Amino acid sequence: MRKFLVKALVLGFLPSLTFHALLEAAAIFPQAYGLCVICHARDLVNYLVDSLTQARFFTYGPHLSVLGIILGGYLGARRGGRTSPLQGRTLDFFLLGFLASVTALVMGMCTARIALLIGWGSLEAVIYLLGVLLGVLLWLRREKR
Amino acid sequence: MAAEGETLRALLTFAVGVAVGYISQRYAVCFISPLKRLLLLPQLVYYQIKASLREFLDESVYPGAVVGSFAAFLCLRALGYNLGQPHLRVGGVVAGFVGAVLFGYVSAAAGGCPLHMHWKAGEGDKKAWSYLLGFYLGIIYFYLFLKDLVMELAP
Repeated sequence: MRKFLVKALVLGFLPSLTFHALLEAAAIFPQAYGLCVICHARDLVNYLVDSLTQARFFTYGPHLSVLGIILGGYLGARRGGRTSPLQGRTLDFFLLGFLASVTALVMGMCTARIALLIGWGSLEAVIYLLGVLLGVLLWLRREKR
Repeated sequence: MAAEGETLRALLTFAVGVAVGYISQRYAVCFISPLKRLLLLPQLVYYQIKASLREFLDESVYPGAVVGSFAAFLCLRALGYNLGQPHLRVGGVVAGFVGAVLFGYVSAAAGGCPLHMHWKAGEGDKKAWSYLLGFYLGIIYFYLFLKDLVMELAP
């Protein structure tokens, strides 16, 4: 039960509450914006692009949570050891990352935010979760063959 | 040059990100592998729930995140924030659904959701770093070439 409570606290409760309550920004941001890897990466990249050029990409401001997640993964690996490495070719991962970010931006959220939005009672997130399930099913079908 | 609110927000999101990354690495959090397991062996998940609900909750990711988020929702409601749901638009939801199917396919092929790849990169996995390079280039590519097309299809 301890693991479940820690996950609920860190993955669900803490990001939503800090982001929307402490910053007094519930009106500006979309729903359940506390933990969303693609949205925060988008905000960071577009903030940098906007600062360096005159491109005027859309951004909500500099959110550094993606860098924090990378640092947290490093600290966790130092403390408790690494998990099993990924299997596959490096170039494939480059292409998959490219496609993943484009499709996630079309969707407007990533799976972490889908979980948060379901907690907030959003119908949109349930529809998208069914879409992700369908996509995983299609891949498993192809893999079985 | 950043406004004061932006600095505070950057620091706060960084701190939350460190906590999320640490816990994710220790508990191997991924939002795609549970879906894979559910679709591959539904009966196994069923028997796991039947045998010990507590163990299932410890292993799973979605129930924890959903419960935590719901608790945060109730807290924000009690604090008096107005959290009305936006109206859904058919075009946006259809485009998003297509994106979701493709995202599920691609993420299942890569073997993890973006969060998984980020903490994996923190561990020092070269393949995860290469995924991240494509990830950030994809964001710039989307905003340079695809944004207008998507907005036209789904206003």
